[in-house]
Amino acid sequence: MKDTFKKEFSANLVFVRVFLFFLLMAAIPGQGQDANEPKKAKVRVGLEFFNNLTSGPYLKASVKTKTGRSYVPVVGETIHFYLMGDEEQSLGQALTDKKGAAVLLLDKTLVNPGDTVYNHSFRAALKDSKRFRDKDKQLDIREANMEVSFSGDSIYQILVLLTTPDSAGTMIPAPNAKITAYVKRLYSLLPVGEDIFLTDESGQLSLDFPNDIPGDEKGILSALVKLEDHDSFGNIILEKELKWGLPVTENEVITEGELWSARSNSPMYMVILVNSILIGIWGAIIYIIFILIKISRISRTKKFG
Amino acid sequence: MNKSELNQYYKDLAPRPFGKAGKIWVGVLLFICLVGLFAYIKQLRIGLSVTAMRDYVTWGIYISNFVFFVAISLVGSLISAILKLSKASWSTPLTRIAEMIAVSAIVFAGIIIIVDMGRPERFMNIVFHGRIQSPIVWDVLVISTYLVISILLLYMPLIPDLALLRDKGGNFPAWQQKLYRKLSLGWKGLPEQERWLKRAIRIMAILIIPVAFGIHTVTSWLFASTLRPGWDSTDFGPYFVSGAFVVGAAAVITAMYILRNHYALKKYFTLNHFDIMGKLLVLLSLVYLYFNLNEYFMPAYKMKGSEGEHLRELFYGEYALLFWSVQILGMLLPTIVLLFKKGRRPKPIFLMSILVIAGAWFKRFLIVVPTLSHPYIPTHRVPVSWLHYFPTWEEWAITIGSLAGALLVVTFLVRLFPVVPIVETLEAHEDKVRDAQATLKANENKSEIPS
Repeated sequence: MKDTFKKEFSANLVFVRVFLFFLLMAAIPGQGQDANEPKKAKVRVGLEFFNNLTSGPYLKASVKTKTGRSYVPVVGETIHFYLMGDEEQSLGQALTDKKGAAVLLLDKTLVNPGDTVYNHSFRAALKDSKRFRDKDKQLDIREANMEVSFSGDSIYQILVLLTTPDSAGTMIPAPNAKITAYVKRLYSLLPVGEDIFLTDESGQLSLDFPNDIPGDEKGILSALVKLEDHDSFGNIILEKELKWGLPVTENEVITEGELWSARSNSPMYMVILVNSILIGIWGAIIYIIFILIKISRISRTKKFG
Repeated sequence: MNKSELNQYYKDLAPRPFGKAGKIWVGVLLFICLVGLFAYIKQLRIGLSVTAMRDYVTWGIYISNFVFFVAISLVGSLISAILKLSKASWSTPLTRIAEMIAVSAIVFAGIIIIVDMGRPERFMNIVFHGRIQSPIVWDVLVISTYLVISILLLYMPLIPDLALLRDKGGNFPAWQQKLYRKLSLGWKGLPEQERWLKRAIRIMAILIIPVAFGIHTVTSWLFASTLRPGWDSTDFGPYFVSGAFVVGAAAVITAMYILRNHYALKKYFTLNHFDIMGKLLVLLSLVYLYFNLNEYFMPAYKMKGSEGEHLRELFYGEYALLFWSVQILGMLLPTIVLLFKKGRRPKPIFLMSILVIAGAWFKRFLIVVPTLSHPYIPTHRVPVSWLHYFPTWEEWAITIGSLAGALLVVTFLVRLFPVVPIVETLEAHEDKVRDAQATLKANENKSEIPS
């Protein structure tokens, strides 16, 4: 009886061991079908609101991921944008570019201080990505209005009034907001003035614009007035073309006959010199070829002559 | 012309089919060329990224090889023109091989430039969109002109020999006989023909001298017209031209030695030829040494800014070993050895010429690459490999392939045409004999006059 029990117990033990083995195989992560799927990386999502008073508002999501010790932009991922409220409303989606930024243009009527909705909550989400884990970012924005006027004949001034609607919809001043003026240059923006300009108690600001910045041939330059990275209002931008620059005449040098001129404006002395040398030498070469033809003809003439 | 002597000269100098050694030589050269061609096809498919050239070193061994080929090609003007016009009749046997080397070198100078372009189909942009102010356009013009003149200077003195081969070459293959018939232009040696041919050769010999000076001066201006340290030098024109004459002379000596031994031409490439060429090489080397001194000593005296940095790299930096090897082994040692008569015997002078040629190739590398390793506008955080240029196997294969190609062209020219001018050498010999006889007679007449 003891032997029988031993045999049965051994058999059961084997069965248990086999059963546990398969259970373990199924339980271990990375086994079976999930084994081939790589681990998804974490990302950081940033969200900014821009209100370009000329072209309209837009949202910009920046996505980056950590590789080694540094962050690199995430390229080619779809970012979904939402407007939060009683119900989440989808605003659209955009792909991240090579800098990891995805931009979505918003309807101009969405951000309108004249309506009754003054606070907006936006959300940008990266989801269902094969490479990255889901991540989102929320941004709360309060509407604001920036009125800019440009004045002056010899002394130029930019006057800014920043207001925001209160709970009743009345526009009230927005003090202590940093406003910066720039001039658009070829590759970047040139800040105007070295001081930090903040709106006063009445939401106003006066900026002196220098009168010695080069413009185009007519003295026209592109000025930008920006409220940047405000905690409540986000970014507000106004761009305007002004005749406040110094006229710059086009450099005529490349059209003149200089060594560095274009082909059609080669210096005359060089054209004459090089061509004279070439004509002289190649003239001699052609003469030599004629001599060779003559030598050949002499043979034929003397043959029959 | 003494017919029996002519027959003897013909027997010695007429082209012969390749022997076993010749076939092996051609086979090896062809193989090297094919490897080079394979590497070039890879470069065409993938692009210049197969080379080690990057944003800093944008000119590498292709360009240094180009400058080397242009330098060697100046031998044509030296032997065929300068020595011929100065009536150095001893140089007559050397003129043919000098022009063969010149033509072959200048052809491959053009080819290697197109290889360096990366996009060969853009070559015609030079023609359609080239600016007359550009040193590159001048270089293209002068190289094409020099090639044509070199071909004419190779061909025209060859005409009487071609006629001789046409008349006596019954045992040549039919295609070769046809070639001689066509190229000889029906030459009969008539006085009128002789007169026209001599005039044509004289015109080309005079014309090639300024063009030869021009070709290497303009090539030097590709570098000297920039503001880069090491290149921004007023000395570059004469420095390059003098260096070219040195390597050209060394190339002729090397060819003389090989042909003399392989084709049993001791009667034509005599010990006297080696002796005179050795002295000429010493003279040219001393002139080149003078320009080297000007090129390096005065900037080293001042060690001004980036020029100083460049010189530090050459004198005791990354390129020091190569620089001093080139200067000592490629220039000083051969010059010293050739000062002695024993050093001007065939074997020693041949070995010294090999050193001069190798030194000249690496000298051109030292002219091109170190300057580029120190960029005019440095870039932040570039890969380390950009700072230390070492050619890839593809670059080596193509460069060595081009050298093999040039040797192959010379080999085939030697195979087809007499490497020593038959008629011209015989005429020079007969003139010498006549002059010697006239002098002897004059001396005899003097001694007969009673005192």
